[in-house]
Amino acid sequence: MLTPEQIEGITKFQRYMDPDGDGIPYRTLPGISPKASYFTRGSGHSKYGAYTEDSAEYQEVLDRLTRKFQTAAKHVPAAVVDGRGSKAAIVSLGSCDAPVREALAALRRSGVSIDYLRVRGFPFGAEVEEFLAAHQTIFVVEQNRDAQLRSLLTLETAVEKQKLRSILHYNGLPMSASCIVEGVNKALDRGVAA
Amino acid sequence: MSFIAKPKVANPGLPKNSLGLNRRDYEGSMSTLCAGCGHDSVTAAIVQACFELALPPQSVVKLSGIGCSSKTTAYFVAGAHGFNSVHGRMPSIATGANAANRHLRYIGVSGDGDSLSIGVGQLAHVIRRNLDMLYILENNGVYGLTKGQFSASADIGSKSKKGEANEQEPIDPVLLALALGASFVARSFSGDKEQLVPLIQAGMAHQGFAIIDVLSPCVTFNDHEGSTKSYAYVREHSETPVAADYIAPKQEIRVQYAPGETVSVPMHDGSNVVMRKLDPDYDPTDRAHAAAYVQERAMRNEYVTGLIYLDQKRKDFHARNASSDVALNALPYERLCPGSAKLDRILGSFR
Repeated sequence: MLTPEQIEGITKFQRYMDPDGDGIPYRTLPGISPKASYFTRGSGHSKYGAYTEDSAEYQEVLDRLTRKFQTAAKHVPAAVVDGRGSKAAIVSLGSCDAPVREALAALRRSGVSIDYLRVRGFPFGAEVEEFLAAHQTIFVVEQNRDAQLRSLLTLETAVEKQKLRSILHYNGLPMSASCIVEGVNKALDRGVAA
Repeated sequence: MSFIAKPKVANPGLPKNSLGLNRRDYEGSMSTLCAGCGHDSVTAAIVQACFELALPPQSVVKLSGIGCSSKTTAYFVAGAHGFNSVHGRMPSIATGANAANRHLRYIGVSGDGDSLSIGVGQLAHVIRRNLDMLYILENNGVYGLTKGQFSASADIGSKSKKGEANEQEPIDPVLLALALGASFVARSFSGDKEQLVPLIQAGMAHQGFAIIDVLSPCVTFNDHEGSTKSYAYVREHSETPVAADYIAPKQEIRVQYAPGETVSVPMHDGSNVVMRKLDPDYDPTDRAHAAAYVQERAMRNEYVTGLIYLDQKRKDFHARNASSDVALNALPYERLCPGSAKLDRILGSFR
């Protein structure tokens, strides 16, 4: 965000220029200066903010957006890691957190030690990649039929698909710890390393 | 279309307003609409109105949705922030921007498709909110960007370019606005700049939601024989019961009006809107009367134009919500976010 003082110091403000290379152009608030105006258009625009139908100019803007997503990965809330050194781990997110913690405590009581990573943002930060690489078996716990978090992990990271095992909950009721404990134990019974 | 690019340097002889700006300073980029499009005349009227009001360009916010009409926000006041929203969702963007800063002038430009089909829900609720903005609905009865299908404002019996007659009931934005309690309702014609410019100025001075339904013919798809939104038809079928003159703050009311025929309405910003009654029986402060009048004239295939209804007393969005008088970007962070201790106290008060 540019302040009125910063705006006065530049010759021409261009909304979609990326002077510092982080992919995130500066913006301005309405009303601060006659030099600060820009038009958020509904059609394609060049990096100067002008209307364009030129392919190269359009692609340049999309490439800048890629840099923006890369920058965003460093700024979104980082994943929270709980425990290190186990062979198996749970990766989960959002409101699964409480049942996962309850399940981890129950598993610990039965002698099973499992690490936990709670994703808090997207694009995934480097810590997600590192955590996936450091574990042999990863239970992806989420509350939808289609394993959306698991899909994102396979798309966005270098993790081997076989390492990811879905524990899904989608029967319309809130998730409980027991379905996670059951899912983990079933896998362990089948000889999966923990 | 081919066009001659606008010269970058303005003629030094152009008249200047009190800010030292000329009319060209209120223009935007080159229009890409069809030559003769009514919307370009509306754009020119907005430019004229803003120039005469001597608005600092950065004090204006231009908002629109999608459509031929919505493209026009790029064509006026280049020094203002502008936003092309998702189709039919301009009122939400306007509400958010206005909630954050009530001291800017909000001009929304929309069309009959953007406002009366995909965005009719948004329009209805922004009227109810009495948001302090000017909403210009450029109404041509067709979807011009997609080759001229009937829009929701097309009259029954009005013919398409290929001769097919519309059979569906039209939505009249003026009647819709009156029914939902709009506090400033006007209709005009893109070909009548003399009427339109003061209406735009009065609409901007009005504290609350001001809507102007501007009949703005589509030269490419709806300007033929049998259309009820063509230049020829609108010219022949318009009737103005009340004409409005806008008198800027501190400006002397010089025109001599015959007594009993005019009402001078002081606006919140110190300006005056002088309403001249051309039909002595018309009362622009009586909502039910205005609605009945518009409906009755519509039955006779007449468009009622001019200032149709004005209510200066209705509380606007900010008054109802007791919102901040200071723009949110000028408030110190501690006031915007009082912190978790304060939140705990508030939550504690509900226990």
